[in-house]
Amino acid sequence: MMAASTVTRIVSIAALPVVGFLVGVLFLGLSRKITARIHRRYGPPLYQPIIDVVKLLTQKENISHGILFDLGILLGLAGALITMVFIPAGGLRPLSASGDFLVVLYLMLLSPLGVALAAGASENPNASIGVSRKFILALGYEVPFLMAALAVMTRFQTTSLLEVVSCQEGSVLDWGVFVLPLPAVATFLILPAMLGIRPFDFAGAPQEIASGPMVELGGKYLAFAAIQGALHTYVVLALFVDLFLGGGASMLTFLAKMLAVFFVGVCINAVLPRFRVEQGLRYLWKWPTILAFFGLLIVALRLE
Amino acid sequence: MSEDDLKKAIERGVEAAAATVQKKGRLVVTVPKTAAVSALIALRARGFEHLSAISCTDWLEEGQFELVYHLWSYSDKIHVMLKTRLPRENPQIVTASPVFPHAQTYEREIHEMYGVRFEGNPRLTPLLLDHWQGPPPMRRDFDTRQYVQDTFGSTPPVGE
Amino acid sequence: MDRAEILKTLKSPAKWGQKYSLWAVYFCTGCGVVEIPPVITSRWDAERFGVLPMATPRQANLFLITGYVSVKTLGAIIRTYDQMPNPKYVVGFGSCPVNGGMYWDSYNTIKHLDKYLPVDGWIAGCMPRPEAIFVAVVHLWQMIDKGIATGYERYKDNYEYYQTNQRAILPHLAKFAGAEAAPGRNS
Repeated sequence: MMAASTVTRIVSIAALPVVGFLVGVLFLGLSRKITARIHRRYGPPLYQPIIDVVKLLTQKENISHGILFDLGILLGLAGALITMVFIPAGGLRPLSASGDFLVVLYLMLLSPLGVALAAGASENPNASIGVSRKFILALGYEVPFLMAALAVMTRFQTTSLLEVVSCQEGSVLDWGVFVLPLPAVATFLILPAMLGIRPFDFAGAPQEIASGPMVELGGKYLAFAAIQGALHTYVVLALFVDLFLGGGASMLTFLAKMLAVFFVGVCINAVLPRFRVEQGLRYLWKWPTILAFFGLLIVALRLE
Repeated sequence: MSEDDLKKAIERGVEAAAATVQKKGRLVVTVPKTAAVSALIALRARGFEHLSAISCTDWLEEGQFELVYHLWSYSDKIHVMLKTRLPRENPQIVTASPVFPHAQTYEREIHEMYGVRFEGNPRLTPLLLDHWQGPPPMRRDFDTRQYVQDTFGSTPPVGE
Repeated sequence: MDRAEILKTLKSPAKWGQKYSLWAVYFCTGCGVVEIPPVITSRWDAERFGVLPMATPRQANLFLITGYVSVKTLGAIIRTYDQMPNPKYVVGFGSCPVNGGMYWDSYNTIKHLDKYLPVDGWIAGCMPRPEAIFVAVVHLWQMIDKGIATGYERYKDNYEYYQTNQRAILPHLAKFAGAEAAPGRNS
């Protein structure tokens, strides 16, 4: 019995990155297609990101800027992969243990840090500007997000994502979005910032700072950065679904919920323009922070 | 004021000026090069506040450059072309930028393209051309087609 | 469509990737670039061909030289082209890169782009219509399939030729600094 559960554990740990990669790529393709249809044009086929990644990986020349550049990208990719393994996804729950929510909150910052390291090593001022913008954005959304996370942990009296998901089993009314409305709304309002889509995509603005941190990435480095972006999207969406939308009884329902949230995000991305850095920070620290704070206050008072 | 009144006023007010009314709303004033800037000051005082452009013509046969200052008056709706002639060898004239600050750019372009020196212009640096080594290219004795042939290779044959 | 041919894809995934994911560096070279925004926006959608505009040459593998190339611009084009990773394709867009076009007797534009950069294809016109860009992209696909879109290899093999021509026009480029003075240039 022990061996069987260990084997299933190992299989799920190995399978989850593959699932995450495929889901991320599919979501990337879907976002380009849906954006195109919103723009009243045809758009690329759904598997276009696969073509892009294949092209980048088979490029004959990969221009590197030193050992720190290579390691930074790998660190970003590794950070995204390892964060995924801690988040329960429908039936798969590979490395769940008590306290894994806190681990996820720490590890989520590892992949942007890796990309920032590579950007710093690339010696391009556009990259430095992009990295500073990215960190300002992270500073912006971490404040309301941590308050919402604290509210969730306090309400369900646990620091394990698995328990958070199981507390929401039962009926639809047990979902986090109904039990903790204010933190859920706050997190939904900062979701575009966490995903890095418009109106909060000023970190990698092609028109302003020539793609920001990714300005010197080409070939396989760009492929890894794209994969890291796709995995980061998966992590954020999976976290939102697990915290507020009841996780998923099976992989299918889990992915369906992720798709619904993602669809809303794509629609927002296709229609809105870009914030300036100070506008974005002002937005993130105003209503989402107020709502998350009052949500936390209510939960804390309820405990008294 | 009307064109004829303006013509008389200029011929009285500016030394050695010869003014002709080309048609309604257009006046051509010819001055020697030493009187160009004082003519500009006098015209500006009469309401010609807008310097549209400074253009240069290369009269190769006469051995002279002709500078034309195009001035416009919003109140009178008259376009004055102030013309001066410069000798083709060592062409230089006082700058008009104290009177109209944006004349600096027009003079910079004429300096680059014709080689006219504007005394007092603080910025006679290259404007459009990049590390240009040859003679001023808009002069009529600059053989464009020969230069293109030498620098860039063959030009396609054109039936004249 | 062409890209659904599985066997061709399996035989050479590299070619499949390069064909259907041509990222053009968004360098607005000359007046011809006025035709590029209509191509990449909703009406003549270039994204369905896989063509996206990229802000930086490191991420791009297609360079559209749109319109006339003045001497100043040629310096920037050479610097941009040198930064792009292999394999890269150059398409001369409009009649000015072909033979000087409208500016055939101008003292400040180059007449034959082929002398300074390896060009894989030309699009004639002044300006070509957006449909002509798509025809060119499909031609480029066929050339990549046959393996004859080898401009970047020609650049490496004949670098002396290109360098001599570039140096004749632009002796002050940073990449020639420190090297011995070219013949005819005052040291």
